[in-house]
Amino acid sequence: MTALFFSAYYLKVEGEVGADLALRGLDNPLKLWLHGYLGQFFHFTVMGFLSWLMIPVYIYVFLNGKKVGRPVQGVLLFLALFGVLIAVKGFFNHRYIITLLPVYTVIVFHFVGNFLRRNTAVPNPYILLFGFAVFTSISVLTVSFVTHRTDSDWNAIKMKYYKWISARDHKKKIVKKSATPFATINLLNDTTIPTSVFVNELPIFYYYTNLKGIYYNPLYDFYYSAHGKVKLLEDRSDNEVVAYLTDSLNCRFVFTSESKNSFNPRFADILQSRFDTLAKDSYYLLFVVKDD
Amino acid sequence: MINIIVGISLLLTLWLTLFSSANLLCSNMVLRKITTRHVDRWIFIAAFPVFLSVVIYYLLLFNLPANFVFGVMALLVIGTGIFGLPVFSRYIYSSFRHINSRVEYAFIAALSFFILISFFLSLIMPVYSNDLAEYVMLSRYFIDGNTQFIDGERFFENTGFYYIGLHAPGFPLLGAFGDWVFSLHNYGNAVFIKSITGVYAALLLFVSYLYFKKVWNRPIVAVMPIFLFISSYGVIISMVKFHIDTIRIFTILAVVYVILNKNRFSSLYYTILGVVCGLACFIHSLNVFFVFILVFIDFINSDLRGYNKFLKYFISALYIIGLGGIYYLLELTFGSGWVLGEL
Repeated sequence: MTALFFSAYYLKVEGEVGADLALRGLDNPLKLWLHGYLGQFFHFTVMGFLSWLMIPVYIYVFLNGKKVGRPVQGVLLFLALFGVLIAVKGFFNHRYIITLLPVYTVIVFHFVGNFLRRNTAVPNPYILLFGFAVFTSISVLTVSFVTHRTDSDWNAIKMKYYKWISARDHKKKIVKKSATPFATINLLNDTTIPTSVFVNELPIFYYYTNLKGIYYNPLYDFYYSAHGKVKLLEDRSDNEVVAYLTDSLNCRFVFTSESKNSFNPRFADILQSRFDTLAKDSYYLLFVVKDD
Repeated sequence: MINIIVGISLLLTLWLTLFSSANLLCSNMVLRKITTRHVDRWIFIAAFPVFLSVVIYYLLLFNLPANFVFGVMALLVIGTGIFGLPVFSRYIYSSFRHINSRVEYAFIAALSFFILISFFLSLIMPVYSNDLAEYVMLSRYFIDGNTQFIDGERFFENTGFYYIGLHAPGFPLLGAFGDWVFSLHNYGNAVFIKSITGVYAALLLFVSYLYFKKVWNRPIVAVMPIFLFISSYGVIISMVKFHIDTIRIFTILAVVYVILNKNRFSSLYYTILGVVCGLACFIHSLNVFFVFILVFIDFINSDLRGYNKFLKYFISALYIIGLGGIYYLLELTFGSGWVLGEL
């Protein structure tokens, strides 16, 4: 309960990239541990407390190895090793933690069910098993909602859908103008853009437009070119960065989002000070360089 | 409204023919002689689309034109699917004949409704997440005949797009296959690749139900784990937010299932293990680590000894490489060196 309270109310998980940002010093460092390396146990939004329910299972298998059999022992050992792998290598992405959830569900249910079946003192084990399943489900769901902080997923689910099916005409390889729910994308498509667009790691730009975009990685500050990865901000002042964008890369527009801007505060500052906001929608932002 | 009805019908037809042709293969394969369990059969039916993407990968690797490859595959799959529909229908009917409780009917009805909703959302929702956009972009390039990624080239100079994913192209290729068929009907919007999420989420729940029904032999117990399964917010989002997760999790659970049922598959175990492991690898690079650890543990735990043991697992390794691992070998040697990067 203490861990639950601490994790839920103190850390305030903002979106799914908390641990990733924390790793780069852009967020609460405690988040790196509780929602990153130990995310299987403390990222309640994703796993509920199923990982905690697995601890007695691990103890039981460890103490009764011969009784459970080698295949089960092997799978539990694999889960433990895989959990360590996720903690070390995949901690920044909560979707990798979810991989364990179906397996944990089956194993927990199996062990609890077998325990109830073998316990002759229990009159009807299946009712108890049903009660266990329902109670655990409600508890896990409650915990998930309590600890959930991000709005992006709910926005996606509640997003007003458009009566729009074939915005892309594959045969003619064009995008029908003003056909997406994103005002920024529609503006890019409806206007004749004489230059390239600087794209802040948003591949959706390439899907919905036929424009050329310079693809930038804000976390590591480089963009992709035919010659490989090229640094943008390194060894350049803000004015030099803007001049480089407009003169060397021929980019007067920047397509980005609030969350991508948070990955590189300096780049976000340059956008705020040297660019004007041309369009904004629920997900994306379109900037144009200020005319001096 | 008519567009939506037609779109859902097309999706249903394409998926039905995919599974129907898979069922035809399962019925005629030697697998029929070693198992008649529904769980086994559905796992192999569900693995078939991934196998299809592996075949497409090899054909594109040998520089065959993309339109030709997709066209031939579509003809073969849809043709065999339609041919195998009576067999598939009989199989579905025989499965439903054993349902005699209202709880099970309610579960099946809920699952069917979930699939329909998923198809509806696939049709109308735009591509809005970054990860999905990456996969869809690659899928679109395949459909448009630009297969440079197959040879390891990730930078598309004409648009400036760079594909950053490190996973094998199983998911985008499967999506490309389905969306190529859809593009014939002038449907854009990456409909088929989005539908993969809902279909494999439903398969996860359905196969879990079949498994527990076999183990517990009580209908209401068979649907209980579903409560636990969908109680996490993360899982709910994974099932409705278009992404690679459900097919990734399904393929790796198939590997776990095969290992746990080792004794039933007897002499074919090592072949089946290699096949499901390879297909799992072809979907996601995380599965490669999964497979490596699982097979290693299985190797240590194996009752076989000496030369026979090494030979059996060597055969499995060949299948793993041939059916998915080859992409990572090529990436390691000629491509981005994926294992040195992040997952």
